[in-house]
Amino acid sequence: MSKQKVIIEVINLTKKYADLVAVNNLSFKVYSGEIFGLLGPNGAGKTTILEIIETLREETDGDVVVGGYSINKEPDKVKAIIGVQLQAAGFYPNLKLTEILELFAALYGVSADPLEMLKKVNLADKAKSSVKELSGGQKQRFSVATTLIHRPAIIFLDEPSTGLDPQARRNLWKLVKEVRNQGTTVVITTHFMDEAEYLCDRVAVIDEGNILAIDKPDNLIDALLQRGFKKDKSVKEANLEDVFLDLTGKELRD
Amino acid sequence: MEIIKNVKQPNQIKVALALAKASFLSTLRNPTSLFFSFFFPFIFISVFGLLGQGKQTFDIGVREASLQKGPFYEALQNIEVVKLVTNLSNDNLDEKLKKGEIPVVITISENGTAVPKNITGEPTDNSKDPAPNRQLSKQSILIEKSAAAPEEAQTVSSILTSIAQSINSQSTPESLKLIDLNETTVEGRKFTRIDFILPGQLSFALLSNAMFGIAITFVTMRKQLIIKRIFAAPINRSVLIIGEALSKSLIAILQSLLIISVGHFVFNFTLINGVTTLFNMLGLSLVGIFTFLGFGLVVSSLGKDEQTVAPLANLIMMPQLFLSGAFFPIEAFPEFLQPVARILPMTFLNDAFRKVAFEGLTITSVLPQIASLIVWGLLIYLLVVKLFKWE
Repeated sequence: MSKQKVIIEVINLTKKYADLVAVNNLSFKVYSGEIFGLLGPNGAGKTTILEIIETLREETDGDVVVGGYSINKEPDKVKAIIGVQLQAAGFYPNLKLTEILELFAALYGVSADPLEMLKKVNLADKAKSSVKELSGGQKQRFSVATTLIHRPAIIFLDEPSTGLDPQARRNLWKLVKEVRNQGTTVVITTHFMDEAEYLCDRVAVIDEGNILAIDKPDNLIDALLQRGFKKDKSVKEANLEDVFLDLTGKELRD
Repeated sequence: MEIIKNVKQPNQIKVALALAKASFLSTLRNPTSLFFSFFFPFIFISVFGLLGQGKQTFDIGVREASLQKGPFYEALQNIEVVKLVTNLSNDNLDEKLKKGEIPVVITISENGTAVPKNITGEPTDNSKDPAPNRQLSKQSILIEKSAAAPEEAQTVSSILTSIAQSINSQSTPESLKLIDLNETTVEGRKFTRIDFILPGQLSFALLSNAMFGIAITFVTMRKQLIIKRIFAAPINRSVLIIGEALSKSLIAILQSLLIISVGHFVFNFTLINGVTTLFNMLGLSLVGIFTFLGFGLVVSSLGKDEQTVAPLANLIMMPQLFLSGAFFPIEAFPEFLQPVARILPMTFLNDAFRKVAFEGLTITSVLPQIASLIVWGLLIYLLVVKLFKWE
């Protein structure tokens, strides 16, 4: 995995609404083959940044180059090489999962085997169901499947684990790692730090449209400790989530 | 920088078709839209069809001075739903017209003669003619309508127009078999109540379905971020509207087919020129749906959610429902309203349906109506381009 090759370059990106600066002159790079996390509290500007890169929202200033193509000059090429999962995005409510995947294959002009894709995200037995019959975790996995249908170079996941139970969360993490291991770059937003720590190769911490820090999670933790940080409470070897998973089992519930 | 080569772009026509298919399947599996597209018109037409089972007849007063012969009069005598009232004085007729007890009074008078000729323009060969020396008298018919019974007057005058139309179309100078054809005309055409009602029902069903169908679809798709997700793909935005319009048009055609079939097979709706009439009506349905979908798209842009879309849709639909002449004749409205009523899109569609289905005119004779609808459509789509909201 070559970490040197840049696949996304964000250059002086700014987004202003009436009197609010949502994204303040940001520049950063995402490397090919990594899982890159955008972290921040609600309203920090994570989704805005993501949607500008996805060409779904117009920037006020600056540019983003994705896989060699500028979002301003060749948005359709950018769209074709990325897969997008939106926060809370819906699908046609009365279509079967296979039919939706066929639609998305057509939207990207590719031929794909919907069943094969459903197997990949562990939903083969739900092929004939509609999206509204899926549980929260299944919906998120299906959503990931729709982003992968055209074999994109990069996928964007916007808070994919929000609302999932611990079992479903872990299952989704496993899926995201698998996707990355097959060569796809993943950009993910989250406000769960355990998720970022477990999944991400590098993270950018964002608040009020500014990048506060950008590095590997381990490096950020070490830097904090070097500044003399001490936790109030001594850390135990396990936490409550470990207890929960030990009691209820790790297998999926949906 | 890693540069990704061989970027595949989709064929936009295939995208439109894929979106149309998705929308079509989605609509067909939605119980609510299924109800409004198919079951509701079915109930509507059944109720009116059943109401019409009871024999309703219309009185037509005949002036003392009127001729009581000729193909027109004979045709009238043979129509079941028409009863000719010949035994009243002019004063009596005037009285009943004023009160609305008789919707229409006619006067048939001689107005020169028309001599049939064959195609070459030579006189017809009398020895072969089954009715030698028969000259067709040209008649003119004066129709007086009762303002007190405008609905009935309109229906009756439609019947009269229809008869005149079919006689005229068959006694052109080019016609060699003039007499034979006249004899079949004299048998008269059966007018059933459904014949008066179905064209109006059809245009209303198309309007309401197009409006609600597409408005609700787009509002829902916006709210559930379905549109946003679709636009993350490298497709042209207008392709989504084209796809939706294709699917809704297909549904409209199926809906028209259902209404006409139920009307025809269950309630004896007369397809005056058979399959030709059916195809003409389906063609008109398509023109109508094109314009009405534009209204639906405008409404979906003005309304934020289902709650605001419904009243807005009704605001556009209801005036057309009442003013288009589908249920009440336009002459019954105050004079200042009539010019407005006459240029409503549904009025044009309704007129076209009535002329084609009821009076048996050809599709070419309703070209003005079709053109007007298309002009309406183009204006509306200009507005759509200005107003349409994707998010």
